[in-house]
Amino acid sequence: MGALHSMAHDYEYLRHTLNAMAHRVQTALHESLQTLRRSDAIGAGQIIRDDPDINALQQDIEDLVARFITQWQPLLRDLRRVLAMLAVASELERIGDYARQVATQVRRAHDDNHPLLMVADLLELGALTEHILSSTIAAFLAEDTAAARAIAALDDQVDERRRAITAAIRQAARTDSSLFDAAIASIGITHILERVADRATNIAERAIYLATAIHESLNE
Amino acid sequence: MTVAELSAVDMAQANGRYAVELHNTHIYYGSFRAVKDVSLQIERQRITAFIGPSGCGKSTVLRAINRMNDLIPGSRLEGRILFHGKNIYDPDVDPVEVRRRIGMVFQKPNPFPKSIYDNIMFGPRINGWRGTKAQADELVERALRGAAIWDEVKDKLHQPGTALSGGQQQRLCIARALAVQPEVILMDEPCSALDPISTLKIEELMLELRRNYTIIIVTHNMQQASRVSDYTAFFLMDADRAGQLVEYGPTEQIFTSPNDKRTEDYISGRFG
Repeated sequence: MGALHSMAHDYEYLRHTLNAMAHRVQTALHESLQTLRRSDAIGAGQIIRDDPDINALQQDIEDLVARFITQWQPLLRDLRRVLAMLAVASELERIGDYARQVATQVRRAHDDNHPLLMVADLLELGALTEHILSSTIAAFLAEDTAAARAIAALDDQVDERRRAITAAIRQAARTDSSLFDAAIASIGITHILERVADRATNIAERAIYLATAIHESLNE
Repeated sequence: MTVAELSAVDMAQANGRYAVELHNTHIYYGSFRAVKDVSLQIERQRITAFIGPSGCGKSTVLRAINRMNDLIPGSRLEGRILFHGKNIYDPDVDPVEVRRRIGMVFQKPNPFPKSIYDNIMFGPRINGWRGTKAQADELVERALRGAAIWDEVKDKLHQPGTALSGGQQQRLCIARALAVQPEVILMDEPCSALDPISTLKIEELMLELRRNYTIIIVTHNMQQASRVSDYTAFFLMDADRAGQLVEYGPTEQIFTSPNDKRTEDYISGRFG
């Protein structure tokens, strides 16, 4: 019983660390969207500088998972849990990179003096991706397969919304060629946000695998 | 037809897919029922692992498969255990012949206090060996090669088997079992007294032996069961303390998505 308690304790610590990383990534994404709202080059620079902290958290999780497997030799759901955590930490690290990329676009737009286009729409798309990310993290931590499957529909909404925004930006650039650089950067942000949603969907797939031992694709 | 008489019969025709079949097997020690109503079919030339907590009856079932429990006063078996379609508990079956055809390797290496050579020849000799010295040499080499220990002992065949390391002793015991040309090898926690490297050598050997033999292994090591076995049977004690078979299936399925929650809980280390 004592040993089992320790295994549960170690698992809880791992889960806590992953949750902390998820919180950090969500904050970075949210802050990057706020810098977009404010056209805030200084805030964007801070997000770029903070990204290595997220990378370090991923390495912490890798070390913790390696130690957990060595010490407890988990099997079945216990093994899937820690393997899924490893994969989710990798997805979160990439999402952290995407937050940095949004900040990079904001800073570049500010420095090059070409204001980004359709910022309100980009923020709306950003809010949807933030919602997907928080939902998928909650579903993963709760091992809630129904909530995880619901992510697919939200991801479809992101794709649809992105197509509409991209089409509008293209149209604007066709009308006014001076908007070309801003259009490229703005479309780049829609692409980044779409990738955030895709990564979040991957996390939802991990939640399903964890609970069922079945690989289910939500991206089709 | 006795089990011995079956040796001349083509195995594929005689028993098809299964090496051993247990049908509604109950095993008693005196009035105590140690195993209740176990039915399972062991596939030929496959490795089947018996897992379960201590006292769940897995070793009792294993020993029943070559009538080793007969040596325990008061033990009794109900049901049938078929080998080549013949119930090995029928009155006309010689248990010594059963044990020749269904060999056994124990938890602790137990070489006889004899030379390596004589350890190997012990079984053939008590079974009435009549070959020449050259044939005996050949048999010893074949058995030791079969157990992947020939290269390590070929220059010291007349030294005591007990002088070998634990892992080597266990492989010598496997060679000794092979020397009487069994079809099935029962292994009762064969690696529990061995270091990790020796354990891996035994596991590699088991995978090699699977080409020609049917192997049934009792193990408490879940990783070992998942590494080496093709099928896994999970046993558990019921409320009357009798061992019963809870779940039996392909190892991959048992170790990824078992059907019974008790299996999942045991494999995950929730009890046992």
